[in-house]
Amino acid sequence: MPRRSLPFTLALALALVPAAVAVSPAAAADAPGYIRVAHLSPDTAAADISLSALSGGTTLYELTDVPYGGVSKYMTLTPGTYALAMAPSVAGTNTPVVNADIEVASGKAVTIAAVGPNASINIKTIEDDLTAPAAGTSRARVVQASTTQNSISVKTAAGVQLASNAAFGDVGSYADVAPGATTVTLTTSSGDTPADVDFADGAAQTLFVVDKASGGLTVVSVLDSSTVTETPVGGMSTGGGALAIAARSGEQTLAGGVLLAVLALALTLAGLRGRRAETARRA
Amino acid sequence: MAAVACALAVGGTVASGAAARPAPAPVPVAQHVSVQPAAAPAAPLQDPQPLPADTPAAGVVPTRLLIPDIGVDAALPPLSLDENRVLLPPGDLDTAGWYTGSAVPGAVGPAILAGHVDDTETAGVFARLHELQPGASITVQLSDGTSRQYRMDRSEDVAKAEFPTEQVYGPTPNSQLRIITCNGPYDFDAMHYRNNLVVFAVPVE
Repeated sequence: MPRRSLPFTLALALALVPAAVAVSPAAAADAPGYIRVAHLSPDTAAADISLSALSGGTTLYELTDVPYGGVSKYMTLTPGTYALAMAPSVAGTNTPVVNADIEVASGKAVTIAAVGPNASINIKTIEDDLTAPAAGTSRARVVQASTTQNSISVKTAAGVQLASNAAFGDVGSYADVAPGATTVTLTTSSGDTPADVDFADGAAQTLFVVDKASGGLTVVSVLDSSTVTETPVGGMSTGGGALAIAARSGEQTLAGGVLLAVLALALTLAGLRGRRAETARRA
Repeated sequence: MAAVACALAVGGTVASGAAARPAPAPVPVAQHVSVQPAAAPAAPLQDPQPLPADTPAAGVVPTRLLIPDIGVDAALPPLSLDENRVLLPPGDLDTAGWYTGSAVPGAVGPAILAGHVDDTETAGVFARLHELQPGASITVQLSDGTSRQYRMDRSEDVAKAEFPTEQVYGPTPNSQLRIITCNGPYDFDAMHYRNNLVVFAVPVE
């Protein structure tokens, strides 16, 4: 393998398309964005991955020893630009040094994946689903990250086609699937491979199709987001009013006290005037 | 220098079937990417190894809620929906509860906890919830003996008639908490509070 002494830099030109996601103003005001990282390069050693503030360089998240197949949890970030750095966990291994500026958008969840064979590893950004599936369903998609097969079809046991002749790097659309443990079949020109998956009720998940040491295929399944299985209707009744009643009776006591004081003052003044009147009459 | 090929278009393998949805629009998240390949020789393919997850095992449920700032140390019995799909509050004034249709704290999704602010005579477990400030520590203990830490992000005082269902029950990409109780103004004629107070909490990472 040739030595490459100079960093290879590339700029990603992805068009910004405003998402038609309804977010209530209260939540949108300072809603964070979410980033997770994935190591999907099958012949690359473990990586240390960090996310830092672009200004000041404060490290916000640090993941050590992320192996091939590792997909992190989402890291919550205030919208803005951050520096992502990937480096070998063990010196002398073949993990490349990767640096990228990561733009985090409010209310968005994104996977930053290192994909491809070590010799041509690159960084892929994938937007993840944060919308609720219909009641009683689950949602799944396939990301084709195999470096050995360039045409893979994926079908669930129930017959939902999640990918059709997907090439390396293809990101499928989410499809509704029935919740529960099932099998998906990965089909290539050399045959079928079954893989066990468990579709979670009320959740969206990504099935990363990846290589095994044997040269075969398997699936790394991760949750993208999840909601309640059955959404309650409206608010709830969790009060009987004791505190409000106590607060009001307190006000009444206070008001009564003021009233009594005013009445007492008025009576006193009246009494004084009465006495003066009497005095006057006596005089 | 050998060129490192990078095909970064977010491609689309179209999932077929009526249930398929369009792929989300790409967002410009990675810029100025530099890849400096290692000098070490190529290695053979490896088996993928998932990262160890701290997600609770199946069957694990939350058992206790601790909010030291407002003196809450309460049990979390299961809560369910009534026939009209309204979330039923706990039967006991002193306990909070966990909606069994929501996430187990530690698993991806919103975990829904609820409790009384009072009954007609006595203050309840969440009588002081309105005092809680952003950043406050919240701990949930689970039946497997572990606990999960959260911090208050924000609270919202919302009219029950305009309950923000999507914000409270909608999908989240990580483990979050929602703590629901009643809040004023109290309707003395109808004998209920007009509002719900919802505390939103995020995991301590």
